[in-house]
Formats: sequence, C-alpha cells, structure tokens
Amino acid sequence: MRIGDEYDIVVIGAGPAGSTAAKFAADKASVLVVDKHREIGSPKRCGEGVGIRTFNEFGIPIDKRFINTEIYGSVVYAPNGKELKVRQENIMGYVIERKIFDKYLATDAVRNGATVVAESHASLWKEDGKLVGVKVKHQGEKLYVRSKMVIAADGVESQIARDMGIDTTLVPYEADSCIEYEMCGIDFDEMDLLHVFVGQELAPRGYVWVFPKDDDRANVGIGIVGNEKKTAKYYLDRFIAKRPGLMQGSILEVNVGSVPVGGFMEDFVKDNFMVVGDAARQINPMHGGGIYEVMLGGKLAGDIAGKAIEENNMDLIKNYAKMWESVRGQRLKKVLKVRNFIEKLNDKEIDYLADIWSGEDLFELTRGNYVSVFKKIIKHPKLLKMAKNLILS
Amino acid sequence: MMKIENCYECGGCVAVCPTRAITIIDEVIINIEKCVRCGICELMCPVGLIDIKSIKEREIK
Ligand SMILES: Cc1cc2nc3c(=O)[nH]c(=O)nc-3n(C[C@H](O)[C@H](O)[C@H](O)COP(=O)(O)OP(=O)(O)OC[C@H]3O[C@@H](n4cnc5c(N)ncnc54)[C@H](O)[C@@H]3O)c2cc1C
Ligand code: SF4
Ligand code: SF4
Repeated sequence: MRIGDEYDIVVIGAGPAGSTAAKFAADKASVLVVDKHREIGSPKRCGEGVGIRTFNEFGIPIDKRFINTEIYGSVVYAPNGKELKVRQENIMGYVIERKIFDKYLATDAVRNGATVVAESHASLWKEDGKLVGVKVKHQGEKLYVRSKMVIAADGVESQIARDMGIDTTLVPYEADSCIEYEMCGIDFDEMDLLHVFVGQELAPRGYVWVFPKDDDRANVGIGIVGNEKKTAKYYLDRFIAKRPGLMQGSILEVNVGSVPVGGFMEDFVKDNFMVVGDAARQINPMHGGGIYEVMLGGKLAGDIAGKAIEENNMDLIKNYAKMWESVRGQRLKKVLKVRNFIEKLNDKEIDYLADIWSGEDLFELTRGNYVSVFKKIIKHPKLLKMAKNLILS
Repeated sequence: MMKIENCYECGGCVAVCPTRAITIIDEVIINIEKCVRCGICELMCPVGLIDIKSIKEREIK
C-alpha cells in the first residue's frame, strides 16, 4: 500500500465519524483517511451500547462479527435503589464489538472508493498560511500529501482544529472522565438490558454502566464530571467493591477515556477545513452516546464535502453548521437543557423524581422531549420552579 | 519535558490543557516550559496519573 501524493479530501481519524465522512465523500471525490493507531478500532474507548436506529439509518448489516448482545431495554437505578425499567418486545439496540465495528466502517469506506491507512500520524500542511494538505508520519516515513480539503475527525483530543485556529479546548466541567473494565465471571441479572446507576454520591454528574456482553460478561464503566477531585477509577472501584456479583469477576480489558458532553461547537468550518465527530463535540450531552451522532455528523460532512469538490466550490461547506443544526443540532440543544437541569439535582431530589417518572419518561428525556415529562413535577417547590424555568426558556 | 508513566493515551489531558503543553506521539509528554501549572489535566485524568506537584519539584531542582 502506498499513500498517494494528492487527493481531493484527506480525513484525519478513522473512528466512526471519519470513516463515515470518507464513505460518503468518496461518492464524488478521491479520499484518503489516515489514523495514527496501528489497528483501526483499537484501543476501544466505549461502553459499546448502540441504538437500533444506527443500524437502520446507516444501512449497517446485523453482522454477527460485531453484534454481541441484543438489548431489549434499560434499567436506571436511583440512589435509593429504585429501578426505572423499560423492556420492549422488539430489539432496541445492541452491545457491539467496537473494534470490529470500527473496522467494518473503515472497510465500508474503502469499498466505496476511499483509501484508508493505519499507523499514519497526521498534522496540517500549510503554505503561506493556507492549508494545502497534510503531513503524514507513516511507519517511520514522513510524507507530504496535497489535498483540496481536510476533514478533522481526530476524536476528543481535537488538536487538528486547534492547529487551524479553531479553539476546541475542552473545559473539564464540560467533559466526562471515564474508565471501564470488561469483566467476565460476574453474577448480574437481566443481561439483555442496559443497566445504569445514577447519583451524585455514586458518580458525580455522571453514571455507572453495566452493558452486558454475555450472561456472565459485561462492560462495567463510569463517567464522572471532569473537574472532580477524586478519580473516575476511585468511584468505579468503590462501586464494584460494594457488589459481590461484580467483585467476583475477572478483568479482561481496561479502557480509559473522556467524553465531551458540553454541546457541539459552533465553528465547524474554516476555509477548506471541517471538524466532525467527537472533535466537534457532536455527542449526546445527557448520556455521552456518540456513535450515532458522530456518524450522522460524518455523513453530512462527507456529503457536502464531496459536493463541494464536484462543483469546485469550497464555499458550499459553509452550509454545514446550518445543515447539522436542522438535522440534529436543535434536538441535541434540547438534550443539553435537560442535562443542565439534571446535573443540579442532589440525590434526594433524584430519588423524588424516580418516584414520579417512569423508565419511558427517562428515555424521552435523553431524546430532548422534556415538556410533558417535566409537567409531572407538581409537588416539589424547588424542582417545580426549575422545571418551569426550563420549559419557558 | 516530562513523560507520564503508565499512561493509557486516552487524550483527556491533551483535550483540556489550555496551553497545549501536552502531546501524544507514541507517548504522553508534558512540555514543562509551556505548562502553567493550572492542574486541570490532573483533575481530568481518569486514573490520576498526573502529578503537577512533581513538576514543581523538578523545577526547583
Ligand atoms: C469510556 C467511553 C464509553 C463510551 N461508550 C459509548 C457507548 O456505549 N455508546 C456510544 O454510542 N458512544 C460511547 N462513547 C462515545 C464514542 O466512543 C465516541 O463518541 C466515538 O468514538 C467518537 O467517534 P469519532 O470518530 O468522532 O472519534 P474516535 O472514535 O475517537 O476516533 C478518532 C480517531 O482519530 C485518530 N487520530 C487522532 N489524532 C490523529 C492524528 N493526528 N493523526 C491521525 N489520526 C489521528 C485516533 O487514532 C482515533 O482513531 C463512549 C466514550 C467513552 C470514552
Ligand atoms: S497543569 Fe500544565 S500540562 Fe496540565 S493542563 Fe495545566 S498547563 Fe496543561
Ligand atoms: S488523561 Fe491520564 S491516562 Fe489519559 S492520556 Fe492523559 S495522563 Fe494518560
């Protein structure tokens, strides 16, 4: 495999955002995708829970090579132990094998005409202040690749955009600090549901997840607010130590990561440069799920970038922010409002809400449908006031 | 330059560093010339690998 000297578009990062952008851009343009990791998809930084819509909307096959467990619903545990459960007849989503899934997405981009190269660390190549391509360090070799456009899909670090003068510095309060163990030999019930434990004492401004992979195997992880003094590891280890069914398990894999949950950025585009995915903070701010969101962000970016090349009109990509806003952004802004409400609650207030809300209500909240759910708060003076402000704002 | 030992290279510290003092290329390195000792990266690290005090000590040496 040789990296060529020139492409219409170079995509930096072969995560779900980059591979999806590349796949759709390749309909109309020559596309190179580079990723610094030696293996695409690895290390995984993911709970691996994905909703069914991701498969339906992006035409992804239900391929047993990356489908691990069928998921029929979820249980959210309030601080006092109260369970808010949703169980459906139909499959609501899957726990996937993320490493194989990411590789599949890269494969899909290649089969659509893109070139993907792992072990390729990229930085921007500028001439007279203008972006003219990327510099790539590939297996010890330094290469210069010219391109008409660069799409940064470099994940949460988002340093490429910073090189382009777009400030993507993450504020710790707007990020979740995460750690996850893939555990085996555990004793845990209802291994066809996603399990979520909330509470400020348990996981400040975050939650613990148990996402099943077999009857005795699961991803057990935590995300907490990024400016908390004690570490995510401290909280996760404490959670596990209190639960003999988990404590007896073995650890097959340790993953560490962070999730930008503060809402997507405003400046996705500068001249012939775009930012997508985690790098552009396109993620659900309530539960930190990103795979669906970043693939959608990637698809829109790939489409418009391909069109800009085809019509030889770079100004087209300026429409990206507007497109994103109407397709997904508006909804995610509503979800962010919900999170801004939820994060202010203390454990007593969460327990109160667990009495008046159902599992279905929580599901609606993660989609930003809050008006009818918040109207159920009628007795609690402080929460009522907060909910009123939210509905009216 | 200070290398962070046992690091998972998750990039959390890189994302939050206001002065871009931290880089990951094969390993995670803090450029102590650029670092303003704000301690944000220390809070962000999910496993508590960064100890800004140890940078301060090095500085004195
Ligand atoms: C602990 C944890 C659990 C999560 N659980 C879930 C979940 O259960 N469900 C869900 O939907 N989402 C989950 N997420 C979020 C999800 O993983 C992300 O939203 C998603 O991976 C973002 O995709 P991306 O393509 O934008 O970035 P990434 O997947 O991070 O990909 C970015 C790629 O860019 C590459 N790169 C970076 N810099 C360079 C460079 N200079 N040169 C070349 N390559 C570069 C990296 O190697 C990487 O492969 C979780 C996140 C974390 C941290
Ligand atoms: S302490 Fe130094 S390295 Fe850490 S975030 Fe602040 S400036 Fe960056
Ligand atoms: S946040 Fe911690 S684990 Fe992640 S890259 Fe920085 S030092 Fe390493």
